[in-house]
Parts: sequence; structure tokens; C-alpha cells
Amino acid sequence: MKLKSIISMVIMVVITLSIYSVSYADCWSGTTNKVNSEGKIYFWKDSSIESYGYSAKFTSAISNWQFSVDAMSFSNVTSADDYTDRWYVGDTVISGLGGQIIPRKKNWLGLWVTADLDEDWSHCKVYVYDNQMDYYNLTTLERVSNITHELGHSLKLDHPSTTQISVMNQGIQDIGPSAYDEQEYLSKW
Amino acid sequence: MKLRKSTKILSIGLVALLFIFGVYYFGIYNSVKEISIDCNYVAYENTEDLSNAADLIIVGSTKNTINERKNIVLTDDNDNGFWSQTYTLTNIEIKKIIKSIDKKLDEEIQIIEPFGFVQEFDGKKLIKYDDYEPLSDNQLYLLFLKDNGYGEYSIINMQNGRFNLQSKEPLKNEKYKEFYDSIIKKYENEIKVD
Repeated sequence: MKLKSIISMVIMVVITLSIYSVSYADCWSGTTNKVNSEGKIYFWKDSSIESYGYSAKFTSAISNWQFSVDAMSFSNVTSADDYTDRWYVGDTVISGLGGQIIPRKKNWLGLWVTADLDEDWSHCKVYVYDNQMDYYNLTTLERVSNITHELGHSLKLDHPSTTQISVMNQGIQDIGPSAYDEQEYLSKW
Repeated sequence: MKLRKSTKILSIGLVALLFIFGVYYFGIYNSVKEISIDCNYVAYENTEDLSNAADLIIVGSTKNTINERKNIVLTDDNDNGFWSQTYTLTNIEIKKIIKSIDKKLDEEIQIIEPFGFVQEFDGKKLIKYDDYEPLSDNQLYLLFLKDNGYGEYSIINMQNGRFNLQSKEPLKNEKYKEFYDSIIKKYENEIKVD
């Protein structure tokens, strides 16, 4: 009897851990922004977003991630604090680079340092590069998809590890979040 | 007696301070940690698309060591100098030109690699875009390059835009390995260098 109970418990633990690891297969661990405390993503927009003419594109990208009542709500603030994502548009010399993120955390002295993807982040800096999107002739839809992809990273979504239809796939696309992306997002948050 | 005691305490304090500073400087400040930055870029999934997209395809060798290469760090004006981008300028000696849109090319060119070193309080961070592996010192490579719009050549397709022809670098996953094998097969005649 005792041996049977132990074996059953071990099987339950293995199954539970398997489900846990599958659910988080394409997300980074850890938290960011005020997601856990308030269920919101606070963001601050740099003036470059307007000066480069990307306001409407960012608005579309935000809408892309608000696909259901359970989806994260994005909240625009005029002044960034420690837990506010910062969004920028700029230029880069790295050919083909459409965008990147820089997650940050405070070290023990209260100084900002670059965080690992799997750590708890205070916030994320999100960049998209207009000159490369121009150089590679990206359409408006592709630029919105690129921004949506980077915002997905700021929500700790990784590139899919298996073949999927996903806005988080590496490369230039013209889609928004798919059913797979929604599933990954909901399993994470 | 009192003076001697206070001098002793001061000396011990000074030594302790120097020790702590030494531990910090050599153990923490000068330590190097690798960080892969997730990014989105124009990606080519097959050898044909990569070859067509490249402005310059060469066999070349790295001319300067990783520490000699020019490391560029850009910062945000309104963020107390925190870094926003980093990249490295690497000198390459061209051994063979496989494809070029540029009729005039020097024997040695400078290219942009998507990685760089950023000094932070808790150490030096080796920032790699999409896990890009820097070109090794004094190695022969097959490189796929494109004009970045500023008249400079930049490696395209990140890790799948540079292929070591001399030694087996650790290939991170099956996708890289497959790409490497198919590129080497496609260019097996062209990559032979005297």
C-alpha cells in the first residue's frame, strides 16, 4: 500500500511539473512592470514616437494585445517611474534590425543594470528602428506587426520554440497575435 | 598611546577599504557576463534567400582580436547615460569575393557585428543580439554582408550570416547546424582558398 501511494505521488508530481513546463515553454520566467501587483502594463512614450510618425502604429500594436477581457491593460503615463516601460523609435547601423528590448532591474545599490531575460524585471525599454524598416521597405502593417512583436517581448513572451503561427516568430510579418500567442500570454499571466 | 591606537585603527580601516575596493574592482567590476538581447530582424530561412539578399559575400579572416575591435555604445540622452545600442567594428582581410555589388573593394574592410561590451556597476556585459556569437580571433569565415544604408557593411541574419570555415564553433541548436551544413554545401567550391 505504502509503495503504491509513493509511486502515485511521484507520478502526480512528474505530471504537474510537465504541465507547468509546457505552459511556460515560450515565455521567460519572472515578472515585470506592475503585472503581478496591478495586472497592468504602464508605459511612457518617448517624443521620438511622435517625431518619427509612429503614434498610430503603437496604438494599433497595443490594441493587438488587448484581444480579450482577460488581456493585460496598457496604461500610458506622462512620467516614468521604476516600474514603467519606456518606448522609443530610432535608427540603427545594424542591417535588418527592426527592434529590440532591454530589460532592466535595480541592483543592491539601487543602480539600473541590464537584467537577464529570466529574471524579475523592473521594466523594459522597447526600441523599434525606423531607418531599417524604411531600408527594407516595410509596409505599415509590417511595422505594426514589428512593434507588436517587441511589445510581446516586453510582456516576457519569447520566440516560439516549435513551428507555430505567431507574431512572436523571428522575422518580418504582417500579422497580430495568433491563437497560439493568446494561449502563451494567458498561461504566463 | 592614544595616538598610536587611533593610527592603528585608521590603518586597519584603510587596508580594509583597499581590500574591499580590490575585491570589487577585480572580482565584480571587471567580470564579464553574457546577455542575449532579444530582437526582431529581417531573417532569411534558406540559403537562397540569404545569398540573394547579401550585397557582399566573402571569405575573409578576422584581423583584430576581440579586445582590439572598436566597441561602440550608444546611450539615451534622457536616461542618465544608460545604453541603448551597442555594436562592434571588426577588420576583415578579404581572401575571396564570391558576390559584390561594389566594384571597388579594399583588401581589408571594416564590418559591423551585432554585439558589444557595456560597462555597468556590477560588471561588464557582453551584449549579444539574438545570441550572436562574435567572430573568433584569426579565423577564416564565410560572411554575408549588406549595406546598412550608411555605406557600411553589416552582417545580416545574425548567427546565420557568418560561418567559420576553420574550426567547429559550438553550434547552439539544430537550426543553426542545418543552416551551416546547407551553406557549406552550397558554397563548397567557392570557399576553397589558396
